[in-house]
Amino acid sequence: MLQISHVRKRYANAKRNAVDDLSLTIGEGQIFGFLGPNGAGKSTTIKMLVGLLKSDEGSIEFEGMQVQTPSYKRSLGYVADEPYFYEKMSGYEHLCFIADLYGVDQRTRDEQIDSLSQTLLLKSNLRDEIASYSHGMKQKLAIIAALLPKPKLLILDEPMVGLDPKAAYLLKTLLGDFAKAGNTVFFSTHVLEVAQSLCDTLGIIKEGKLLACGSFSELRGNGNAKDATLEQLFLELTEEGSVQ
Amino acid sequence: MRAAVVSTLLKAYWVGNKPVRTALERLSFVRGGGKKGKVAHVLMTILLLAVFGYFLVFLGLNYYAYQTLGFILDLPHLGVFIACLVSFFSLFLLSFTSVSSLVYESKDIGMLRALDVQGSDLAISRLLILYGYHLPLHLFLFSPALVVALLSEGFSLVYLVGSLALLLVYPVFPLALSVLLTMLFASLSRSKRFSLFQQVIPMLLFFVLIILASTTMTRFMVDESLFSVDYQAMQASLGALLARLDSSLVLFSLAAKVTTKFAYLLLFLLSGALVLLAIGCITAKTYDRLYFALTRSTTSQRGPHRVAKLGARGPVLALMKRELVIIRSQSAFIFEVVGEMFIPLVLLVVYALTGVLDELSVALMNIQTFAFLPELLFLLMLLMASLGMLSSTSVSRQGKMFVLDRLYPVAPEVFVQAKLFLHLVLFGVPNLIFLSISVFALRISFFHLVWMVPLSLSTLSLIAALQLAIDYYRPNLSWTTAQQAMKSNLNGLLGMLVALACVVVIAVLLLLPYVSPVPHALAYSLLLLLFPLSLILSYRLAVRQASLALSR
Repeated sequence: MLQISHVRKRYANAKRNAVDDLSLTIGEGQIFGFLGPNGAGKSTTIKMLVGLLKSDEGSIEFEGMQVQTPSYKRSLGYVADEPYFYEKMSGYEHLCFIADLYGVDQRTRDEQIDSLSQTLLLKSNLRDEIASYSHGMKQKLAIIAALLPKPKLLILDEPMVGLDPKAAYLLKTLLGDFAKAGNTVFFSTHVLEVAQSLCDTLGIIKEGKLLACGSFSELRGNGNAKDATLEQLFLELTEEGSVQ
Repeated sequence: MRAAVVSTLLKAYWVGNKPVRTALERLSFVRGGGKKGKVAHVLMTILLLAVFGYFLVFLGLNYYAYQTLGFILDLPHLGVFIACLVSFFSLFLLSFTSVSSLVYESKDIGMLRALDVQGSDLAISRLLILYGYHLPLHLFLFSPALVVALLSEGFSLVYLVGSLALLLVYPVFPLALSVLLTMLFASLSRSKRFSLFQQVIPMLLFFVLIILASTTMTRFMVDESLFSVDYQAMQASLGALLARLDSSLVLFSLAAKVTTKFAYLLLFLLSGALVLLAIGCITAKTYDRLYFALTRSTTSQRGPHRVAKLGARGPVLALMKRELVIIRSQSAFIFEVVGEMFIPLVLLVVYALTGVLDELSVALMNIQTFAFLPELLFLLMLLMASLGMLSSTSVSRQGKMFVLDRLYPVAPEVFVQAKLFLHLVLFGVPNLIFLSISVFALRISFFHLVWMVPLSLSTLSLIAALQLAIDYYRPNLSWTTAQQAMKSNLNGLLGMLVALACVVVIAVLLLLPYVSPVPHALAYSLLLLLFPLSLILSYRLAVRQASLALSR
C-alpha cells in the first residue's frame, strides 16, 4: 500500500506551495490516475514519490518502507515524463545496466527483456544506440527498464506522451496486467479517456491541493452529475477550484 | 548571414550560459554564505590568483630570456616571436578538440535549427563564440610578451595599436586553422572515426607542446633560478633552429614585428581580415552539410555483428562500465582521460626528441649512486599519475543524468567504490607498469616494489577519494559543452592541488631520513600509520558527500 500523509512542498522563492497537505492511500492491485492542469503539482508529487525531491513536511511510505531508502527504491519502477538515457549505450546495454544495479539474475533478465521488448514492439531495435531512437522508442525503453526488475510499485509521469496508438494500447494492457498481479500503479496523465478507462481511483489536483479523489463513479457523485464524463467533471472541478 | 540574427544568437548564448558568471560562481566553492564560506572563498581566490600570477611571471621571464637571446642572434623580436608560437599552437590544438562540439554538435543547436535561423547565421555566431572561449587563454599566454616588448622597445603609438591588434586579432589565425582542418577531416572521413582522430592527435600534440615548452623554458635556468639563464648554452642549442624558424615561419615573424612599424601592423591586420573573411565564408557555405554529416555520425546504428549477450555483473562493475560510457560519449572527456593516462610515455618521446634524454641518462649515471633513488623515482611516477581530473570531475561529467543515481537502489558507497576502482584501473595499473619498467631500467632492486606497489595504490585511492569528495560536494551538472564539465571545471584544479599536497606529504616523509636525523623506521612508521588512516577517512568523506549529493 502506498501511503502519502500530509505532504507539503514549497520551492525556494515560490509564493505558494507546489504541493499542499496532500494525503492519499493507494492499495495493492490498484491503478491510480493523477490528474490536474499544468502546474498543478503532479510532477512535483511524483518526484517526491520517487525520491528526486524531498518533501518539506509529511511522509511517504510504501508497504512500510520510507521513500529514498534502498528497499523502497528496489520496490519502485519509475518512468519519467522525459526519460534520460546514456545515449551511447544500446537499448540492450541500458537494460543490462539496470538489471545489474537491481541485482536481477541472468535468467530473469533474459526472460523479462525478451517478453517486455516483444510486447512493446522494441525487440528489433534493442541493439541500436539509444541516440538513434525516436521519442516513442525511448518511452518504450523507459517502460521496459522500469518493469524489468519486477517492481511492486510503478510510477509513471505522462507515460502516453509520444506513444503511437498501438503502443498506448499495449501499455494500458501491460499496466492492467501489472495491477492484477497485486502491484500498485500511480500515474499522471492529461489523456482523460485513458484515466477513465484504466484507473480504479482518480485524484484531481490543482494549485497543489487535492480537489477530489475516488473512483469515477464516486467522482460523478461528488460533482452532482451522474451522467457526466470525466472531462466534464475535470473541467468543472478545476475551474471552480473547490477543495474537497 | 543576417547580422541581427547573429547578434540575437550570441546574446541568447550569453544569457543562456552566462559563461563569466558561471565561472565566478564556480570560484565561490564553498556553499552557503556564512563567514566560513567567505573566508574560504577569499583564500581560494588568493590561491588561484597566486597560481596565475606565478605562471604569468614564469612566461614573462622566459619571453625575456628569448628576447635577450634574440639580441645576441640578431633576431630582436624573438620574445614576441616565441609568444606567437606558444599561443598559436596552444590555441590551435585546444580549439581543434572543441570545434565540432561547439560549432556543430552543441546541445542547443538542434533547438536553434528548428527556428528561423539559417546555417550561415549559426555558423558565424558559433565562430564568434569559439573566438570568445579561446581569447582569455591567448591573453594569458601573450600579454607577458607584450610587457617584454615594452621593456625592450619602449612605449609608442604603434606599440599601443600593435599590441591591441596582437591581443585581439592574432587568435583568428590558429582558430581559423582548426576550423578549416575540422571541416576538411570531417568531409574527407565522412565523419567516420573523425572524433577519435580529432581527439587523439591533438591530445598527443598538445602534451608534446606542453612538455616541449616546459623543457626548453627550464633547462637553461642556472641553479634552478627563474632569474639567471645560461645564454651560451641556449645559443648553442637553439640558435640555429630559432634563426631557421624565424626565416621560414613568415606569419610569426610578421606578428612579432607588429609593435614596431605601422607597415607591419597594416599587413598583419589585412592578413587577419582576409583569413577572417575566408573562414567565415567557407564555414557559412558548408555549415548545413557538415552539420548533418557530423550529427549523423553520433547516432550510428550497430550492425548484427555487434549483438552479444551481456552476462550479469555486480552493481560496481555495471557502474564502472557506465562511467566508461560517459567518458566515451564526449570527445573532450576522451581527450583528457587518455592524455592523463599516458603522460610518462609522452614525456619519454619528447625528451628523446629534444635531446633531454641524453642529458638525463648522463645525470642518471650520477644519481644512480644516490641512496634515495627508489624514493625519488616513486615520487616522480606518483606525481604523474596523480595530476589528473578523472575523479575530481567524475560526478560533473554525469551532468543532468546524475539525477538517475538518486533513483537506483544502490548505496552511496557503491557509487564511490565504482569510481575509485575505475580510477585505479585507469591510473593505478599504468602507474604500476611504468614504475616496474623504470625500476628495471634503472637497475633498482625489485625488492623496492614491495613498498612501492601498496603505497602507490593506497595513495592513488586516497587522492581519488578526496577528489570524489570535492566533486560530490559541488558538482557542475548544468554544463552545455563538455569542456565545462572537465577542462574548465574548477573541481579539476582543486583536485590537482589536493593531489599535489598529498604527494608533498609523502615526499617529506620518504625523504626526511636522508636530510635529517629522523630514523627511517620512524618516518616509515608514520607513513604506514598515516596513509591507511587517511585513506579510510577520505573514503568516508567521499561516501558522506555522495550520500548528501544523492539525497539533496
